This record gives sequence, structure tokens and C-alpha cells, in this order.
Amino acid sequence: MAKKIVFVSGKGGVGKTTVVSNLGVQLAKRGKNVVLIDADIGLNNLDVVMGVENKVVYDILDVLEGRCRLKQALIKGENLPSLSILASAHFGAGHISAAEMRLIVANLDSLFDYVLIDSPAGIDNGFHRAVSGAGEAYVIVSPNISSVRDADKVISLLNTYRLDNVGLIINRVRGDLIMLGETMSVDDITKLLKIIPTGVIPEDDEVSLCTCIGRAVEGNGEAAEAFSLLAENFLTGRNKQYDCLAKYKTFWGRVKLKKRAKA
Amino acid sequence: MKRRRETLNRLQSVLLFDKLQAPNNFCELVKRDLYSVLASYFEMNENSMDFYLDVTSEGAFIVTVTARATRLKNVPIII
Repeated sequence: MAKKIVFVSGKGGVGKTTVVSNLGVQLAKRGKNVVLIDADIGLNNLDVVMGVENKVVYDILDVLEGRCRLKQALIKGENLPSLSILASAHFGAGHISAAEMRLIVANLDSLFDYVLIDSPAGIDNGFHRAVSGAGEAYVIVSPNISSVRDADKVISLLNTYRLDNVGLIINRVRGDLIMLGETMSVDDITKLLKIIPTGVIPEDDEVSLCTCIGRAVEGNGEAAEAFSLLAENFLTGRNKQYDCLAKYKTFWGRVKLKKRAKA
Repeated sequence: MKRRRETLNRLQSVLLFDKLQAPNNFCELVKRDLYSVLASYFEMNENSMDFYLDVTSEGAFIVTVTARATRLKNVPIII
């Protein structure tokens, strides 16, 4: 039986699609069968972020309207046969109901270990549709005031669904700004939202660059390491977090910070 | 450090304000539900029940319910 996890956020641009794609890749690299569902109907981006936009023949709407079978609509990930992607439709958000989304997820249940659902931003029908098929939800938040405020509302809303777990992932964390006391820390957000984060992902230029070329972050970069840790947490149930401040605690890190503070 | 403090203070007051935005009839709704539960066990009328909802500065809700009943109802126990 698959773990059915939806990734939500009230605010847009906090990195839901980035987290879903990179987490999916990390889990698949660890031998898990993973499917990513783009539930952002009409504003689909998961295919682009994963670099499979040219491979989309059928999408979720084609499955529901009987133009193809579910397996035919699944796109295999680049060099990762255990990763599949179910692309979203370019239009027709109103044509897909929550019950139909549940049907799609239920049909994928026996085929995969993880079903990761990328929800649209906001808390309207699209949110309801994405959440209704899931057993767990993770709220993606970035350290800014509007994102945390929206996350608080989304967490309240998620508590009205029958979910086994509501988790938190803090994305785009700037260690330098935290050290300089310019922005909220991971602890501040944890205290405000009253949920211990399952993952902390640092702001890293590599993420933007990889998104542009349609690949998941790889190598020994900060974000790659954080996504790897996040995947381990999902597999083991731990809450080991990436320390975004570590590199600023070294001698050269402190020198860099002093320079920035003077500027 | 000052900017972080400022952001946190602003965010705390925003979250608190959001919590105070409960719909007008929310309290009435909860009160009615509570009354229907209590009235199954106690002889009482709806006017003898008070329901207050407060929010602390930390954002926690304080729910206060006061009810006066004239007697216990005879509840049959099925084994």
C-alpha cells in the first residue's frame, strides 16, 4: 500500500513543485517506486521542472475522460525507471472532482510505494481536490511573514480532513540572514506553527538553475544534501534537519557575514 | 536582530488577529452543539448556559462554558 502524501501551501512560490520533484527523485534513487501527480490543473509545472514536458502524450484529464488507461498516462523519469509522473491538464480544472482525484490515487495505490501530490496554491477547489486523495499532508513554508500566515490557515484547514499526519517543510531558508538577525529562524517558525519540521531546505542558486534545465538537484550542494536528508526522514520517520547555519559558524563563514553586515 | 524581532512581532499580531476573525455565529453554533449534548444528561434550558471564547497573546484559545442544570436526567444504562 502506497503512502499518499499531498504537498500544500497557502501562498504560491514557496517551492511546492521543487520539493515534490526533488523528494520524488531522492526516494526513487533509494529504490522506492514513486509517482508524482501534478494536481495543479491549468497551471501545471511539474512536467517542466522534471524536464519531461516533451514526453507528455496523455494527462490526468485524458485518463478521467477515458481517452487512455492510467498506465499509459504515466511518464517515466529521466534515467530513473522507478519514478513516474502523471501530468496535469492544461485546462479543465472544473472538470475534475475530488472524487475523481481519489479514484486516480486509489488506482495508483497498489503500483507504487509513494504517491506524491503537488497541490495548487490557495485553499479553494484545487486544494480540496488535491488533499482529498491523500493520507498525509505536508505544508511547505518559506521564512516570510505572508507564507507563515497562510501556512497557519492551511494547517487549521487540514485539521478538518481525515489525515494521518500533517507535517511541515521549511523551504528557502537563508542561513546568513538568520545569523545576522534579519529574518525568522527555523525555531521561530516551529514555535509559531507548533509543528516540528520534517525538513529544512536552504536557499540555493543550484535549485533555480536545475529547475531551468528540468533536472533535480544533484551533487554535494547544500540543497542536494538537504533533499537527501528529507528523503531519509520520510523513509525512517526521523526529523533530522539540515543545519543551514553550519557554514556561517566557521571562521570564513563569520568573515563573510561580517563583510555582509558592513555592506 | 532588530528586523527579526520586528517581523516576529508583526507576524504574531497578524496570526492573533486571524484567530479573532472567527465567524460571528461560530460561538452560537458551538453553544447549540454543547447544549444538545448537555441537555441529554441534565435538565436545563439554553438560557442557563454561557459560552465564551478568548484568545491569549500566545494565540491559544480559552474556551469557557458555564451551565446551570436543575437536575440530572434519568439515563438508562444498557449493559
